[in-house]
Amino acid sequence: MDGRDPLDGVERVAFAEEVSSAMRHAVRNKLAAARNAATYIQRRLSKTEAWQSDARIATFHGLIESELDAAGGLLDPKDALAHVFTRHPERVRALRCIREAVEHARVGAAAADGVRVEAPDDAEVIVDPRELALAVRYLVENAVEATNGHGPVYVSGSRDGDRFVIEVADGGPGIEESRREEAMRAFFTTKPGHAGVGLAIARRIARRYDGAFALGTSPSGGLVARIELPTAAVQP
Amino acid sequence: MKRILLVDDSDSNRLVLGSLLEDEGLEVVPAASFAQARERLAAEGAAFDIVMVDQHLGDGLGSNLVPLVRKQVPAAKVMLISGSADEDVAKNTVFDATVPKGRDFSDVLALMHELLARSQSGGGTP
Repeated sequence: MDGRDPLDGVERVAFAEEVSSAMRHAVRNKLAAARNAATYIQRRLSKTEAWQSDARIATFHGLIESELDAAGGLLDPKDALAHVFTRHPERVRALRCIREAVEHARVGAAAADGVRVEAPDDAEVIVDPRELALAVRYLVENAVEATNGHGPVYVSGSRDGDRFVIEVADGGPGIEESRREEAMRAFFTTKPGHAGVGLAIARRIARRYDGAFALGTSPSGGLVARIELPTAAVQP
Repeated sequence: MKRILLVDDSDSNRLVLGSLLEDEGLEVVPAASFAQARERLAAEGAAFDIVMVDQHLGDGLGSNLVPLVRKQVPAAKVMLISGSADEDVAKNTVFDATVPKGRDFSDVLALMHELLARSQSGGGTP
């Protein structure tokens, strides 16, 4: 590496997406309670004399509802980060993204030697290659850390019908099945000093391109993280 | 009277949505956490027509309650009241219905009645 991280920009945006997603969730909860409370008040009071004799009560109730709707509209994630990052999905060989992820994984030279890429297949997928490389890089970094930097970590790519499957497997302690869903949530971490966003970002990116993300048990009893993406249709 | 198990870790949401549902003549049993919902479902004689659940509970995920609902009260329909518009919930298919938080209460009610009707006719998830 020449010191410049080519995935730095896309990583910042992915992190911002996770933060804003968590904020949206929290704010949407508050707005929902306020909106339902307004509905309750209207249902209970709209037939009373006070409501009917003072037009401002109905007007102000309408104002509360419309302002809550407007606030909810501001939470729409579409285009929220468009001014800082433009996504460019393109046909790209999945193996290229895998190799870029491994090349730029922040794991140190010794640990990098223990990362083995086994990609007997290659296929074209339609993604922003920076995003797919970022997702795989998180998985590689997690896997290396799970083995305390000793490896080995296996990164594989294979075709499964009209899907392309990327797996990153380690021989670490793994994650028990009942805790895997939780582990994929943003800001969940058991590791001091970590933000706990890697798996959440990998899942978001996989789903963004009509793919799937899952955690399982590797052949050595560690963790295997799996990204599955639809392969691009063959061009005539 | 139809019984609703309302699972939400927000006190405000439980209070207000519960009140609206009670005004519709429904019996509402609140649960403030994943653990409390699990207790209510596992209690002897547990009977619910609808389980309304938030996805992100402080101590667990609403989607992880669904298998327990299917086991303990198989006739009940599970409705996700979601605070998230993100990919993770949009593609979650374990629920019988999903409605975004903040949707007009009349829409929530209409969807709930649709589920109850489906339940009475013995219909499954479409």
